[in-house]
Amino acid sequence: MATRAEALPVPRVASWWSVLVDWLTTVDHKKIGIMYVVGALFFLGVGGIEALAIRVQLAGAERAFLHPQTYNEMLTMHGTTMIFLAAMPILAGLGNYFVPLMIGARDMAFPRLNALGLWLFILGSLLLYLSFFSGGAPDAGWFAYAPLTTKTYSPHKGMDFWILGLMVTGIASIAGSINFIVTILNMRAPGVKLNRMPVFVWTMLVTSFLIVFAFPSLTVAQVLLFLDRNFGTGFYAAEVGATPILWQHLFWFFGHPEVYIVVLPAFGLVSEIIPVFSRKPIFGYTALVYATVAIGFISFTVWAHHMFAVGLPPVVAYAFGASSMIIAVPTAIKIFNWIFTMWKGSIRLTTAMLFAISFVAMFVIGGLSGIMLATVPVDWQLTDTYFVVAHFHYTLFGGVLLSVLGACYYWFPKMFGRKLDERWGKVHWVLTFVGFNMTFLPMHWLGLDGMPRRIATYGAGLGWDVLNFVATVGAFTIAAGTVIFILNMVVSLWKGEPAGDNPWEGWTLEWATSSPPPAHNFDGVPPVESRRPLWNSHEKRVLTPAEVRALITPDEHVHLPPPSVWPLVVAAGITIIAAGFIYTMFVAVLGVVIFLAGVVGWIQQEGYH
Amino acid sequence: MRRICVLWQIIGGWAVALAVALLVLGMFPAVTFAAEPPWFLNPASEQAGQVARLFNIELLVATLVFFIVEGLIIYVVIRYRQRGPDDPVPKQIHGSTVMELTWTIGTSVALLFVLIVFWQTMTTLAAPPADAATLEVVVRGQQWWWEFEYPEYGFRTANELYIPVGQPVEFVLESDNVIHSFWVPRLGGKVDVVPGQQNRFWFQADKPGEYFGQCAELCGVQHAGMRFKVFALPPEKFAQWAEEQQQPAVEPTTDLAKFGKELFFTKGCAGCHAIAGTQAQGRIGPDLTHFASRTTVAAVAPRTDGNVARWVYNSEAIKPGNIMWQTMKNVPLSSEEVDALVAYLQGLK
Repeated sequence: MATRAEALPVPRVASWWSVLVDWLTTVDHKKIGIMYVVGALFFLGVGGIEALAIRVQLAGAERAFLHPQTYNEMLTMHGTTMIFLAAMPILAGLGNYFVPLMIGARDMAFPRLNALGLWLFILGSLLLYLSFFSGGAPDAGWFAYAPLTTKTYSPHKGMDFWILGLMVTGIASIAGSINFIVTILNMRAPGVKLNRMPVFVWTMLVTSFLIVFAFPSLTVAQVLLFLDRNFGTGFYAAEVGATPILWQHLFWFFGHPEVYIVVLPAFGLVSEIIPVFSRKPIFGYTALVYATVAIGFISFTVWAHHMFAVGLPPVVAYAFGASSMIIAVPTAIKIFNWIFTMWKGSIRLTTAMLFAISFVAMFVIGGLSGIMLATVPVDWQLTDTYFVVAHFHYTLFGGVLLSVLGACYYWFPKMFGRKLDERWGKVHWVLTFVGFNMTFLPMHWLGLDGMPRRIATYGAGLGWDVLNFVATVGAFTIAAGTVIFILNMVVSLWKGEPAGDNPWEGWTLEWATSSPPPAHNFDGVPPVESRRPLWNSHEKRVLTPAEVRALITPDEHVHLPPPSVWPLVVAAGITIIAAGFIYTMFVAVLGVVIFLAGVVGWIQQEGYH
Repeated sequence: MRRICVLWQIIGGWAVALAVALLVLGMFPAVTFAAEPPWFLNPASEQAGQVARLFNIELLVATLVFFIVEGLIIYVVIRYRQRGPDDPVPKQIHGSTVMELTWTIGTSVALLFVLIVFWQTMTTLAAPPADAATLEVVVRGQQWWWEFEYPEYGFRTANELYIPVGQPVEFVLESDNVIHSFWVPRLGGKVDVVPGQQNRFWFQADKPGEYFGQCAELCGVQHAGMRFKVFALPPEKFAQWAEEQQQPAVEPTTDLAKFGKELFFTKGCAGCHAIAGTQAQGRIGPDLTHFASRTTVAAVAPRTDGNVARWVYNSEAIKPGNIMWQTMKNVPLSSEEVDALVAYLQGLK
């Protein structure tokens, strides 16, 4: 029944329509993963363009490239886009594609729920961006502090788009997380015990739990804000005796775990890349996993470190500062474990490895500035300055993005059967690494030199213009690298060097499949007896593809769930309901009808036998 | 082809090393490009000094850790990079409990040290000394300007805060609109100005001088324009300044200025602005009683006749999005009327 796909399938002549229908109705975790990644890369580009607009505006003192209102919209959309529409979905996409493969599963536990998550992400993102064409984008920062977000101070509908767009993508995140948790806990191939799971799978598991526990706090905060804005309630209104600080607690109770939601999978990615290119197993697997879980727990006890300046009692502030600093311990454990994975290894400096090493080196800087910010009196000086901008870009760009780019070079051959060009990859890496430091290193000094965040311009004579100009040049250097990356992907897709099943001599289960993997992933249950299923520990080498194939007994029958259009219909219904709350209730009613039709269709459809 | 690959590996390794080295070099120079930058590590108060001390200790620890870790990375990458495709498979090491314990304990000890200094700093900053005579200033965050009220003296100013040197000043922070954040880097950290909540905060300037301040919480379109200046004066000069500010506004003397005063009422300025000694009692915009004793218009432009004129007839050009423009764009002014208003305002010493 099951036949292995060719390593490099000859493109079949298919009509555009059938291809379109195939992708719109797919429940294959790999196609869904690719669409997540493509969507996220698109928004990474959009968020990057917004960043460039910000940098052009700040390149010199008293510039008027952007009106301050537009500037506020840019900074809000840059932050919101990068966190919710780029970082989270790109990790969800990589997780979608690789978690089932790495644990020897045929698909995610709930394939249609998986598709629903994808469509909610895409449609919710588009809803958010519709704001640009409907009177104005959100303009009160990605943290959206009340009362600046209330109708009085942000009268156009931008904030409503922000609330509802993110609620729609939030449903996607929670649905996806539940799917990851169930998949990882229940769908592992028999030999893949918990303590044999690849570290990336562990980090996706912990991140999924963080999403499930953190996102409801954001949703509650957003619902209350929506009611305040549109129905006259006063949850955040000081004039009726409430406190706007409530928003900050609810938001950061979500917002700080959110940082780990995006950074833990990034830790997982480098934990896969570094060992393979050092030809050594990960150093201190158990310590790394415990550290991951520890960070997950502690991340819920640190949220008020974003709020040291709001007037917390000193003992409370100190406690939150101390708990934030404690996170440095598990993080340091990880850093040293990565370094000692390379220690005495045989390091191949491929593009993927260069990005992974840069990640370790840069994340250290973000961690050190984080400790400084955790000490409350220093934070009083540095919070809301460019020092913080520098700090979190070293963790999010230096952390998340560098490791994701590394993962793109690492896994592209598996996903598309061809390698990305390594020479252009290295040019991309150099431009990104140099540009990144050029952009964000000077921001440390700007912060120490009193430059606040989120200002649309600054006065001449303060001495901030030189470093700001350097940062702007750096941003365009990154942009140049990104253009090369995009071209590299497009060209390599057609003309890249054929990869074979296992181009990097990886030892986790995704390398046991063809490149790209067939729809059913594995012909049979792959045997797993260690953390490195493809490693021959006697001969100290990676199994050849032929040896791997010989190990797997093909199943007689392969059952795959049928494609379904209903996730798309349900997602459209939910998004239209959200849009209705912004425009007119009539549209919301239409959305409810579509939603219900989708749910009925979903239930009626025969799933599997 | 293979030769190019090998070359890349070597260049790649050194590129990492070079880039990180540049990074390290960059850590130190206190690069500033202004005469008196608002660099908080150059403190002008005991309170800011305590914070700078804490920061410097942390910077020392961080620098040490930075060199150890980054040095280790560079060493490992160069030392253990693959020299050729035939390199032997390295020994398969899975971990080491001793090493895990070493860096866990090492990190914890370093953190414990920082935590102690951190606590020590927290306690010294808690409250102004009980025996000192404290000057109280009510700070009100507005969109997008600062109001400073001196309850002891009974007057209000805008965007320029005068304080005596050598005396603790306690700030009472109030807002009836959005959240702002009060910050004078060289004198103290920032404290948010939150609607419905009265935050208190203090510092004592030790050196006379002019200090840069700015709102540090996104508060709307003109967040960037919400700047202010702090003038720390020797006590006797401060007393003299306060006495001047207590005086009602001077009456205009020239005809043009007198016409300007008339326009101030007929054009509706008095609806928002107060001028002590006249019937203008508006509280929406800044108090203008001693407008001509200030250095700026709207905190962003020097108070020249030209800028005052521009502010009166086209404030949008100076501070886009400002709230005064919402009204003034509907109030046509002839150039003579503008000149008259400028003459009046510039006479309010």
